[in-house]
Amino acid sequence: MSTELFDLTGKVAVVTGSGRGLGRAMARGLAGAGAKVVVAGRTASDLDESTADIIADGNQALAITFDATSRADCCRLLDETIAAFGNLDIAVINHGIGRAKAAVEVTDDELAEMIDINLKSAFVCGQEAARRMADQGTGGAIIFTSSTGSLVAFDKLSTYGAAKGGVDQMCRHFAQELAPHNIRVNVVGPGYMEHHMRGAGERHDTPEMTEHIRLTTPMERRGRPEEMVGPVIFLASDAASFVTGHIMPVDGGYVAI
Amino acid sequence: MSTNNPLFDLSGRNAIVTGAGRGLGAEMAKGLAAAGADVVVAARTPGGIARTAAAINAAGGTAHAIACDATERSEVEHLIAETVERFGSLDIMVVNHGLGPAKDLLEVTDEDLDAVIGVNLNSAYVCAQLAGKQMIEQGKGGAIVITSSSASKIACWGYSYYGASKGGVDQLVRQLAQEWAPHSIRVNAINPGYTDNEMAGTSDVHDTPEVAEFIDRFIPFGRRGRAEEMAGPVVFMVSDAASYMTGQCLFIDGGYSAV
Repeated sequence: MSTELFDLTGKVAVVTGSGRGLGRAMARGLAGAGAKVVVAGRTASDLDESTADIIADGNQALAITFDATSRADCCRLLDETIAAFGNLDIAVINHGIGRAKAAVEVTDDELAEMIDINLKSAFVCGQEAARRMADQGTGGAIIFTSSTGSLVAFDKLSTYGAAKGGVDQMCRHFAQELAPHNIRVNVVGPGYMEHHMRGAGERHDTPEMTEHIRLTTPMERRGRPEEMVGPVIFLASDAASFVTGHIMPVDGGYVAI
Repeated sequence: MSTNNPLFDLSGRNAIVTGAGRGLGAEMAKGLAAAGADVVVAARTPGGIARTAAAINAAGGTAHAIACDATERSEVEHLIAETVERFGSLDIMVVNHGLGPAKDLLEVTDEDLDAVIGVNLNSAYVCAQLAGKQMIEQGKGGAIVITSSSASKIACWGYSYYGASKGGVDQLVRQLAQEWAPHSIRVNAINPGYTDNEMAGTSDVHDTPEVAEFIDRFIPFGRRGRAEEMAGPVVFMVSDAASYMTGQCLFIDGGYSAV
């Protein structure tokens, strides 16, 4: 028995937004599959906890703090990754914020913040990762964390949905342009998860929301952060060698109904 | 790091793959067996499945060949019953058999339409239905994958009836995912694009310079998929790695449906 198709031994991965939640689980899972992983985010103490988990598993990780909205910081993150581990094979661009507000009340500042963090900085991180992978000439895999909010509407998530819809379409464009470099670009789209991103907690931790999720999700539950691990390993690995430009919801069937 | 990642390990699970005599189905069966599943390989003609089973057994896996006409409900019932009798349960069903002829839609006859809808949609429905019934009776969940096509989503010349059958498969997957989620049965599709190994009835359409030019122009990867490249996606979809995925269509098409 062998699951070697999914083995990432010898690969180097960066996961942004991996100080907590889904990103932390993804980073740990990629390391468990054999990759050397850089956990990246704004808050050093969170990153240190993520790194400690991975090292306690007996795997390799390095924490690098960075602000994803700064191109210079993205470049520094990726260059330090390559300096530490030799190359860059996998970039999981997972950082993001969640804000909910009625569309008619959204201000310019709120719109700009959402688009800057969830769309523009994802573009910049993906672009800088792609440049380095193309220079290396050994291909690569880029995975963006989008959301079911890119595909269907949720109450008060107009700015978030617009940003994530942009991420999905950016993924297709990246996939098309980067295919000649053997760089595959795909999206994972989490649905309702047990862990909430920055800014979304109070809205989700209510009995009403739990009941809503039970009624609207075929699997009748939230996803666990660890359930993002398999999809990310798959898309990062040779098992997905002919998969690119694909939007993959991981949502317990939410968008199917 | 060992190459045994428990997330993708299928040890102790029993699978059926239809249309496993050759091409994509044969590679899917080999992939499932390599990941640890015991596999029944099924198809109408015994020669191909005997070869697939022999290859799996020679590689140290466990496979058994059962000839089955998937368009006959009684034969699918027998296939599932024999699998359960031999292996003890049915945990994974990969419904992969299909027909892929192409024809100008103005020339498609009732017989053409009946053949393609009958094999690609109706018999896929029956296979999934009977597998789901068995899994529900067992009470320990399961995973069903139906092979669809990128033609379920985008138009390809001559594929009006094939595309209709595969569009139906995609929607069937969503429907079954919803109905069977309470039984912990996940149902997903994989949607191959152009592949090296064309299914029954398609070689005359696909092996032309025009198609080669088309692939170069319209598929970001600039090539056909290899049959072996279907193994990873199927193993992923039926494994615990995809425990929160159901009702999904996974496109394995080198970016064809993204552009």
